[in-house]
Formats: sequence, structure tokens, C-alpha cells
Amino acid sequence: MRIRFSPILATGTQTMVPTLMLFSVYLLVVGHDVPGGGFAGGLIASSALLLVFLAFGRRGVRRAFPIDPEMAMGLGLILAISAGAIGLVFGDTFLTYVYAQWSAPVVGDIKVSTLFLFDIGVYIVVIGLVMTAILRLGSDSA
Amino acid sequence: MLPILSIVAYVAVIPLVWGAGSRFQRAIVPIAAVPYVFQLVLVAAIALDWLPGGYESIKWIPSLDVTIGLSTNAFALLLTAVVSGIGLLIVVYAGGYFGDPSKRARFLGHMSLFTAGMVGIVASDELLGLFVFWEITTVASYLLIGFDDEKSDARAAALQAVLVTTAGGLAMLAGFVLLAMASGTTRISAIVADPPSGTMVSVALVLVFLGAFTKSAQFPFHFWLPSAMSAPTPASAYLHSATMVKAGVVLLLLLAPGFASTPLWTWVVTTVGLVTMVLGATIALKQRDLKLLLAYGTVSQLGFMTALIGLGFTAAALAVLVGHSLFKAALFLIVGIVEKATGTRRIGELSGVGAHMPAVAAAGAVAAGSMAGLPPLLGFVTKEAAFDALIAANEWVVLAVIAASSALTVVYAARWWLGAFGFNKGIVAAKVASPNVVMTLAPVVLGALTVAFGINPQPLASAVKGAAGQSVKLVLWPGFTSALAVSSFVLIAGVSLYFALATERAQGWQRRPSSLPAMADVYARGLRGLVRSANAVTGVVQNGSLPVYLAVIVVSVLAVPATTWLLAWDPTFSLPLWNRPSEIVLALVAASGAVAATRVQRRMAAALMIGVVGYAVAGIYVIFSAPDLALTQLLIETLTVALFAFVLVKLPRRFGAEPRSITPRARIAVALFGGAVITFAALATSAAVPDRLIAEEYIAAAPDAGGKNVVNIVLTNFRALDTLGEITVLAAAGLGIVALIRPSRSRRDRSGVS
Repeated sequence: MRIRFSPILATGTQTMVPTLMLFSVYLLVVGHDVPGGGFAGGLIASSALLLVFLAFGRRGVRRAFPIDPEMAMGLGLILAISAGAIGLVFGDTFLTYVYAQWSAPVVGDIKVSTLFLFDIGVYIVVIGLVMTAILRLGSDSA
Repeated sequence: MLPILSIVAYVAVIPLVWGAGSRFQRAIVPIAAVPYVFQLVLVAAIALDWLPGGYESIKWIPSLDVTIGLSTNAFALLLTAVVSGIGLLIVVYAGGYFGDPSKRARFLGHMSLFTAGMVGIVASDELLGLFVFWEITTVASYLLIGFDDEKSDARAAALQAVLVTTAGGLAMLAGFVLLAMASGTTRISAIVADPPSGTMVSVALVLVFLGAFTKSAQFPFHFWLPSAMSAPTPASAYLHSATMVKAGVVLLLLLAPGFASTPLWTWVVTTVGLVTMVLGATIALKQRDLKLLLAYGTVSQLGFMTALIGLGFTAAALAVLVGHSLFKAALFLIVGIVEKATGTRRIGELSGVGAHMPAVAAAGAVAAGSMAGLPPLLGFVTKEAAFDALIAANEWVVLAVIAASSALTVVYAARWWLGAFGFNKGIVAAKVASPNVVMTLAPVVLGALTVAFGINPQPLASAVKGAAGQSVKLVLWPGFTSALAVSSFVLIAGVSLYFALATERAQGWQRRPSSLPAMADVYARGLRGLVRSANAVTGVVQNGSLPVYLAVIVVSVLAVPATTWLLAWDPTFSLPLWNRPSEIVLALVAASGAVAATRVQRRMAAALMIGVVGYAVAGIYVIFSAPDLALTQLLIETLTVALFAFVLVKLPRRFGAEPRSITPRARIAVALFGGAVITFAALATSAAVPDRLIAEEYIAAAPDAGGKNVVNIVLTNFRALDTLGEITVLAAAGLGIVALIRPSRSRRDRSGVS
């Protein structure tokens, strides 16, 4: 991959981005109980992709984030709305939350709720928006 | 469930009809006919007491009291039978009229939607439900009138019809709301049973009249109907005989029992009806286009019905409505057959067509005769009923006007038939193709019904009596009564006038364009003016200067709350200046960042200074133990500065290179105003101490709502709809970027500054 500015930035990015992505997913997952959530997680992931852009340019971002960012925004919205619609089916009104819980060995209780799906939707929309902005506004030179 | 079921059936077949369009073209007409047949069977079954009828309602929007209420009373049954019966004949006719199967399917789909709305109107017993069906017919009529969408005059006519009737429909909605407020119910039958009165009711009635008059093409809104003749013939035949234009009359019929005795109703409705009747008949005399002649004839006949309703003769009006539906549908359909066979529909270009299609000519004679009021046809019987009612009530002035314009009706009916089928001297007979048998069926059936109900009006009389709750004298031979004398006078006067108009001088009058109030011009001028003023407003509001936009947004958003606070001025906050000393440091950092942002000369430096303010605010969040907010704030600030940088590299490095659209002094004023209002708002909200804090409720409820992090639970659960709205805005902003900037711009583009 072509390095744009400096090998230091490139190397730093390569080491940091996996950690940042992992941290963003962590924030998304634990968001219901400790600080974090889809919005913050999405912003962390976006920052990581911004770093990729600065270090490796448009092509680097395309490789790291192969989905069309506009498509991602749409998918995120659909996911969030679907999560609300599940509430409509099982609960009583749109966006009422529903959850399913299992007890699994070793990991303990696993709880999946529509709140989490909704938050994933937020996460994806945020990344999609920032990616759109980066790819449209940012230039490969400069 | 019965009326609702039939309406659903009309809508449900639309995809089937469209789907059949390309591959199963033989199935189009049978599928499209199913709901009409179903409806007729239902009507018959309920009328014969095989099925229970009654009133049924669906609460659509309970919080607004919007209910769809449909009834199967005699009134609804009679009109539903007319709408779906004539509809069925037109479906069959359209099968022959549209040779292209895709056009046939499209037309029948639109028509099915239209009929669903129309059946809803005639069966409605709920004001707001009626309005919804009313607007469904408006939308569907737009599609039907503008069916030949490659023709600009068809599109213009469709737009005209939809604008005029929608404007009236909105006035009508306001009238409905006032009427419901005044009477405390939205049920029409309950309103007319115990009619309210007062100024509000008068205003409501005038608004409702606007809706009825625009829909039924009453003066001065009559102009849209003749323009709508650019619709394909089956559409004209349906819209302008049994349906669309009858909707206004139906609405007046529904309300008449409660309000017809008020002077407002009598004067306005009767006067408008009479003016329309005379005007329509007079203009019809001048028409050389067979279809336009019928259009103005329809305007006139609608005026006739309106005038009768104005005086409270609902039964007579209903009888005239049924008679008119039968003959006018036939007349329109026959024009379509003649035009298909000869390629023209102008009087003076046709001669001897009747010899080629005797059955059609005979059906035309019956229909035109019914329009003119010749015995033993239904038109004669219904007109007699109207005359009889007027004589019994001593309404001599109205009788005289109606009789006079009925004489004109005789003239244009004769002109129509002789122009279409007669042997006209000096005209080279046009080549006549043999008419399509399928298309001939509908006019022949309608003609047969016109004769049958003329000879034996008894079934119609009892149906009308049940529907209007008012007896009406529908008989073929009444004996030597005054009504018969009026009818005879009308016929004699009409025939004499016909021959008088054949003279040279009269022909000159006929050729002169109508100098009567040209409402169509008023409409066209109004529309042009609207477009011009919209352009002017857009030019002022959207002048392209971002600082102006920003100033307008800031000032207008904050002006309202600022005004409210100024009106209730109470600047007594008891807030500590600070809680912790570290706040002072952060506040100083934020303030110096803000000041620096206004002082620095380089754009990038300004963006960074704004970032400093943001980080300082994040620090305040940290102090107050709001990790979620602090985290988000820090991330947002970082990303914002980075995205700023992307854009700023494309702008001049320093401020002040470009011309200014707002003076610095104005900028300072706007900024100070915005800052002051926001500061005040922040102080006021912090100082407010409500009895119960929603935050405490949230904290208490969070464990039950799916998590321990209250901030996140607020975002995803308590205020999830807000969050959904916000991410929708984010996506919209993203699409805005996509629309504004195309990716991978060329190097030349990038370096230039626009």
C-alpha cells in the first residue's frame, strides 16, 4: 500500500487501527452498562478509518472498509428501524424493546435485546456518515 | 364489513389488472370487472334483505376522532348501484376502446382506484372519512384526466382539475372541522338530524359549498370540466356522468336535510345552481365539438341538480341525478365510438354516420331525447318531477329559469344528435369504419335502461323515495297537469329556437367566442402569478450566501424563545459562580479559544481554536462525571477538526479574500445575540429546580429498561425515537454531501477555488 506522508504515521496507524477497532466494538457491546454505546463506538471506528485515510489515502480506506459508505448508512437505518419494528411485533408500540436470554456454559448469561440491534444501527450510520465525508471531502494529495 | 369489503376489492384488483397487462391481455377486462360485479351483487343482496346492511365504522386515528364510517342505507345503495353499474359498462367499453393492452390495464387500474374513492363518498356517514375518499377521487381523477401523459394539454387539464378541486377540498375540510366542532359529532346523519346553527355554522357551510361547487363544476369553478375533455372518452364518460362531478351534488344531498331550510343555503345554492345551469346551456349552444358540447351540457345539468337541492327538493334532484347519469354516460361513450370510426368529433365534419351504425344512432337518439326531456324517456319523467315540485312550492322564478334553460337543453341535444348522425348538406361524408361491437354494448344497455325506467319509473321512484326520505312524483303520464304544460312549452320553445338558430344571423352569434366570465383566464393568471412570486421569494431567500443563511437561521431560531423570555423577564438566578476551582481553568481555556477563533487570520487556525473550545467543554463533562458525554465530545471534536481540514485546504488560507455579503458589524450583532440567548437559556435551565427530576426517574427505570448505563438507555430506549430521528438526519446529511460533491475530482478542480 502506498504511504502518503510518513512511514512513522503509516507504521503507527498499522499498529493502532486493530486496537481502535476492537475498542470501538467493545464500546458498542458494553454500552448498555458502562460508558460507550453505538454513537461513541462508531466515532472511534471512524477515527480509526480517518487515520487510515491520512496514512494510506483513499485506496487504503477502500481496502479497510469495502462497503459503499452510502449503502452503510442505509443499512444502519434499516437495522435501527427493524429493531423498532420487532418491538411492534412482540411488544405493543414501535421501538418498545424486546430481549431474549439464554444461559450458556462458561460465558454465563447471554442477553440479546433489540436495544443492542438498534445501537448497532446507530454505529453503522455514524461510520457511514463519517466515511462519506472523508471519501467525498478528503483529497488524496495535499 | 360489506361496503368496506367492496372498496378493498376495487383497490385489491389494481395490481392484478396491471400485472395482467403484458402477458394475459384477455384477462384484463374480466379481472377489472370483478369488483364492480361483486359490488352490484352486494347492493342487490342488501336491497333484497338477503344480507344484513347497516352502519359500520373503523376508528382510523382515534386521537383525532378520524373515523371511516360507511353506511348501507337506501341513499348509499342507490348511488352505489349507479356508480358501479355504469362503471361496469365503462370497463367493458374500455376493453374495446384501448387497443393497446398496457394502456387498457393502466386505465382500468386508475379507474378502479377512482371507483373505490367514489363508492366511499356515496356510502360515507363520517365527515372526515368522506373527505379522505373525496381526495382519493381527486388524485385518481388527475391520473385519468392526464391519462394521455405525452400530450401537454392533457397534463395541463389534469393539473387544472386537481388544483381547483383540491383547493375546494381543503376549504371543505376546514368546513367539516367547523361543522364537527359546532355539532359535537362527525357523523353526518347525526349532524343533519340535529343541525347546529350560528355564525360558525354559516362559515362552515360556505366552506363546504366551496368544496361541493369546485367538484361539481359550479360557476365560477365550472371551467375545469370542459378542459378535462382531453381525457380519454371512457374517463370522461365516467367522471362527468355518474361520478366525480356528482360528488359535490352528493355532498349537498347528504347535508340538505339539515340545512336546506336556512336562508344561506337556499340563496347561495339555488342562485349558484341557476347561474350555472343557464351559463352551461348557453355555452353548450356554441360548441362545435361534440364532446365539449356534452361537457357544457353536464355543467348545465349539474346546475339544475344544485338549484333543486338549494330549494330542498332532494328527491327530485336525486331522480334527475340518476336520469342524467344514464343518458350522459351513453352520450359520451357514443362520441367515443363516432370519433373512433370517423376520426373526428366536430359538428360540420360528419354526415350520414347514422346509416353506418344504426344501433349506436338509436342509442344516441334515446340518450339525447332523454337529455332534452322527450317522453317516454327517463329524462322526461325526472324533469316532470322537478317541475311538479317547483309548481307545488310556488317557486315561479326558479321554475321560469329552469324551463328556459331546459329549452336550451332541447336545442343542444338536437344539435348534438343531428351533428353526429344526421345527413348534413354540403359535407362530404367521412369514411366510416364499422364500430366495435364491444363498445356498442354499453350505450345500448344505457339506452334500454333509459327507456325502461321512463316507461316504468316505479322502481326508481321507490328507491329515490327511500333514499331521500321525501316523496317524489315519478310517473310517465301524470294527466293534464301544469308540469306537463311546462314540459310541452319547453319542447316547443326548444324546437322553435333550434330552427331560429339555423338562420345566418344566429350562426354569426354562435361563432363568436363566448364573452362570458373567463374564469379559466383568472385561473391561468393566478397560477402564473403564483409561480412568479415563488421565484421572487426564492431569489430573496436563497441568495447563495452562506453567512446570510447562517444569520437568518440563528436569528429566527432564537428570536421566538428570546421574545418569550423577554416578556416574562425574571433574571433572578441563584447559581454559584463555580463548583470546583478546576472549572475556572477550563472556562478560561474555552473563552480564550473562542476569542482566538475570531482574531486569527488563517482558516485552519480558526478551526483549531474552535476545537480548543470543544475540548475544554469535554473537560467540564469529565469534572461532572459524565464519561459518556466527555468521550463523545472528544471524539466529535477530533473528527470535526479533521473534516474541517479537508474542506479548508480547498479554500483560501486566510479570511477576507472573498467579498463579504454581511458587514462585520452585522456579524458581531448576530453573534452577540446568539451567544446571549444561549447563555441565558443555559443559566435559566440550570437554575430551574423542578419538583421531580426526570433524571431520577430515568435512573430508577434504567435497570428494567435493559442496562445500567442511563445515558445509553436514554438514547436507545427512553428516547429511541429521537435517536432514530437523529441518525436519519445524519444519513440525510451524508446524502447531502454525496449530492454536492462527486468523488475523485480531477486535480485541476481541486486546486481551483470556486
